[in-house]
Amino acid sequence: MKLPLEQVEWVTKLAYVDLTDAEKAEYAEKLSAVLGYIDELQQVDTNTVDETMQITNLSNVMDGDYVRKSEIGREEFLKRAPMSERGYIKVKSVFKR
Amino acid sequence: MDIQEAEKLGIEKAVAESLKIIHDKKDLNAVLAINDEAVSGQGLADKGSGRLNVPYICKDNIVTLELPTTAGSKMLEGFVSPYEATVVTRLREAGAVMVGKSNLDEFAMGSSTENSAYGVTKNPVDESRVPGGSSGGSASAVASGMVPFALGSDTGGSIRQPASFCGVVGLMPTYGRVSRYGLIAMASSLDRIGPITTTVRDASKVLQVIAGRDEHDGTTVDIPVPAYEEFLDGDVKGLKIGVPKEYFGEGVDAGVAEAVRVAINKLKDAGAEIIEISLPYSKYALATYYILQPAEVSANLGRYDRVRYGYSHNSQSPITNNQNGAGGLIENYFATRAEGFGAEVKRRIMLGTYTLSAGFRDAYYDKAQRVRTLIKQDFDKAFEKVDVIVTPTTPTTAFKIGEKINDPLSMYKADLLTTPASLAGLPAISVPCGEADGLPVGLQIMGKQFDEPTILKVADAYEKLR
Repeated sequence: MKLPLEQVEWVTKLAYVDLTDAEKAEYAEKLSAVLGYIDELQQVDTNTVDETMQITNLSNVMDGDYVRKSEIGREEFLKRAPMSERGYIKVKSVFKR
Repeated sequence: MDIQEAEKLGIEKAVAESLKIIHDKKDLNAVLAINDEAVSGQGLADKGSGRLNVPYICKDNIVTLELPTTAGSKMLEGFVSPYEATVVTRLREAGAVMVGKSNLDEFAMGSSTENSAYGVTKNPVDESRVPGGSSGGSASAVASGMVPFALGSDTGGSIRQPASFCGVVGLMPTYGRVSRYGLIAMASSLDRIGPITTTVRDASKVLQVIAGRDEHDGTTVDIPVPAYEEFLDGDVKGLKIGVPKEYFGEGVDAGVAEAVRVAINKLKDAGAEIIEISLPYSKYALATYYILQPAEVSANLGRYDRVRYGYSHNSQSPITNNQNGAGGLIENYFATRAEGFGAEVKRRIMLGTYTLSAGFRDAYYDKAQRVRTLIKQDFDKAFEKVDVIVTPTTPTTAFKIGEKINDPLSMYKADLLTTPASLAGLPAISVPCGEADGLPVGLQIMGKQFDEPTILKVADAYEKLR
């Protein structure tokens, strides 16, 4: 089941990853191989079972609702941000001018 | 050196010795960042409770304060975490000293450590071969004597398989036994942290320190941590060992299967009862895993956009060019992620995005979660009759560097025998059990949920018989 190129392009948009034309062709082929392999699951009769999302059977594990000092301060965040200005993390514009 | 030998040396000598070996064996490329400050004699002997007063190496997808955390990726080059993982805190409180961060497949994706952005790690047993992955650096470090233990992480086999390839012990605890707080997330319903050591007793010692409920990780279970070493009495009389035929068949090297059968016979001679069992749905485990894991990966890696972190402040760095380039925020995401991620990571993000997307989710993701239930049920049924299940850890011995890197599907098949326990949430340990063609073979022992005591007991007993 070979992935058509348009499908690969559509997935790159969903995944927010640019691929070169060579990469798109290569991934189309390699992903098709993997998809062919995982397609074998279609033969399995799963009508009698539910999904297993996790195996701990824990649910709604909450943290306490209390105020406490943050472990990480503003300076620590700013140190690691690529661009910052006047105490804010700077990002490129969302709206085109 | 094992933990006892390292403790006899005293922490300062052990750390100095460890750092010397790490520097001497630089060409293995097992260690990405070395903590040379660790030996500065700041009263190391006074630190911690002394329960585990030894040097260790931490896989580089576990965040630490004293050394950078790269996850083997350019995306986090030079990144120093503002917080540390719970396992690291616990080890420090027990007196352990981190001397380095080990190499891994990028974001823990791979079975050979060839996917690291910082070069492949060599297998100390045969340097033309891979150490396995993704915890290849950790396994190589322990196998070459750098440290008595290293931390690894296991999602589909990433502790057990490299341990098997390098001839050392690798323990994957039950999901929820050890906190994932500070482990860079790959597949959140499958990831686990565990120790790589030279002996089973040492694996028990490390597990003792790192296991237990953590308020920072809501998926850790509030079950008391037993005194693991007390179970290592070498007695397997009457213990029921299940041997599933599906794990010795197609795809498994004859030499590997033979070495494992010899090991099983040794356990039988020591009084264990060997029971042939069947786990029919295990044959779908690899396919199931390669739907679920990339899907979770595609969600977890969505955070890497170099807006808040993951950036080299060196403005000459080529991968930061786009920050000042044309285009807005969205274009920046596309370009940053294209540059910062390696090929395998991009492939898995693509695969996961595809299988979760509209129109495909039911056929792939939901289907896989149901097959996961069937795989788990096989184990539940088997554990009504047996105490542990024993198989080879990997279908082959360590392959040559470069052999499988161009064929992802062939690489994925290295996880054939380790993914079932991952999906079922069970604990599993790999212990060295002889050789095939001069290369180490691993014996995998799987147990019931939270039954690390029994798998450690059997592994330790086998180690004594070997």
